[in-house]
Amino acid sequence: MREPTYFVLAALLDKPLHGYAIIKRAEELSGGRVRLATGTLYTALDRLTDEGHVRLVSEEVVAGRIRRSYGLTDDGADVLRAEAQRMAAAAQIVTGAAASTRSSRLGRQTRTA
Amino acid sequence: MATGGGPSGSEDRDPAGADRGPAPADRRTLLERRSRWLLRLYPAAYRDGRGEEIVGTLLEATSEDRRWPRLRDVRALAVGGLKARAVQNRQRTVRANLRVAVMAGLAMYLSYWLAVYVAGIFPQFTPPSVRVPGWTSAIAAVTALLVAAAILLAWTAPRIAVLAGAVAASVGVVAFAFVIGGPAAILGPRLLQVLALVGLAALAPRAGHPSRHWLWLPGVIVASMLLLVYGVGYEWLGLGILTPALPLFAMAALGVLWVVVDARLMVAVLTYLAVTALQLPVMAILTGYWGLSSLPFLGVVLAISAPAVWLLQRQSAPAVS
Repeated sequence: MREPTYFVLAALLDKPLHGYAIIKRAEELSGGRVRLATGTLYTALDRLTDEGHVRLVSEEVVAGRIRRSYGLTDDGADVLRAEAQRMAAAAQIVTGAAASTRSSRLGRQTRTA
Repeated sequence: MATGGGPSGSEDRDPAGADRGPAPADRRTLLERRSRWLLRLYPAAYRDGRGEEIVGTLLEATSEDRRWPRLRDVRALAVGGLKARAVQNRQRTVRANLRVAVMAGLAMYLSYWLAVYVAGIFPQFTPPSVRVPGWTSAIAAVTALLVAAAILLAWTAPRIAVLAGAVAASVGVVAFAFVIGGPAAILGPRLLQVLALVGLAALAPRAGHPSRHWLWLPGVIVASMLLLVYGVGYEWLGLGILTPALPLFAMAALGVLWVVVDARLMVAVLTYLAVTALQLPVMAILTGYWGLSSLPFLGVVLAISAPAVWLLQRQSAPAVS
């Protein structure tokens, strides 16, 4: 799963949001790293809706323009969690190895002392 | 969590699209108009469903002092529009996509002749180098009207009307040829025009009609041909006989660029080229005059058609069994 897709799904984890709110939330959650362009967002929403990960929750008219809110489906939430676990496991390979390297180095230093 | 309001990021205030010229409301209107223009990259059906929503989000995500969408928004909308078009094509069967592409190619071929008939209505305005002797304005006008109607009906009318239009135009083409040159003139290009009209009627779908936006192809052929005949003439640019083909070269180039998204334009142009290339061999067979010089060109066109059709097949939905 590409990072923008991950953060679009993550943005919808708490509650349904409309387009601009998804952009802002994804930026916020990623610490400013993922700044979705409008076209990118709707391409992702189309694909995620087709795949059954996201669904249309509500429609309202704001300033004469339609505004739709999207929410995560159960399937989408499962996919998001699975991706988060996969990334955590992948990160663990590096952070775990780094931690064990640190502890063994510390052990050697202690024995030397 | 942000759920509304305008953007506050410094990136939105870069000087490229912002200035202190028009009033804020005018800037907003300009931005909206330009955003809508960009949306034309998406298919019409998609715009009907999503257009307003995308424009709304784009305006919300763009700071108020801008008159132009941000470059990354332009890029994303262009990519999104092309992807949406590709997705739309995958919803049609290869048969439906091939049908509309061949119809467009036949319409382009007929449009070339339509322009020739229109040129015959006012022969006094055409340069002597392209003036065809013996033409009568009245029959040229009737034939032009019938051929134009047959082309338009294929994109706007039920199949029965397309069939009626094709029959009427065929009668017009044959009668025209007979009047200007006797029975022998019916052969060759005239015969191919009749076959193209029959093809147009045979390919017209039983229910509904193909999207009218395809009419830009025959429209360009007619407009450019008339411009050449009445305006700048065949000697324009010093390219002689190649000059009328320039719009076609442009269409072919566009077809090549567009082939990854939608191979139908390429197939349409190749259909037009193939039928045009058939003119000389058909005349040769029917008249006994040895004129097979366009056969290598036809071979090249057919060779390019194979991968174009293969690509179109990949871009289409699987046929329903």
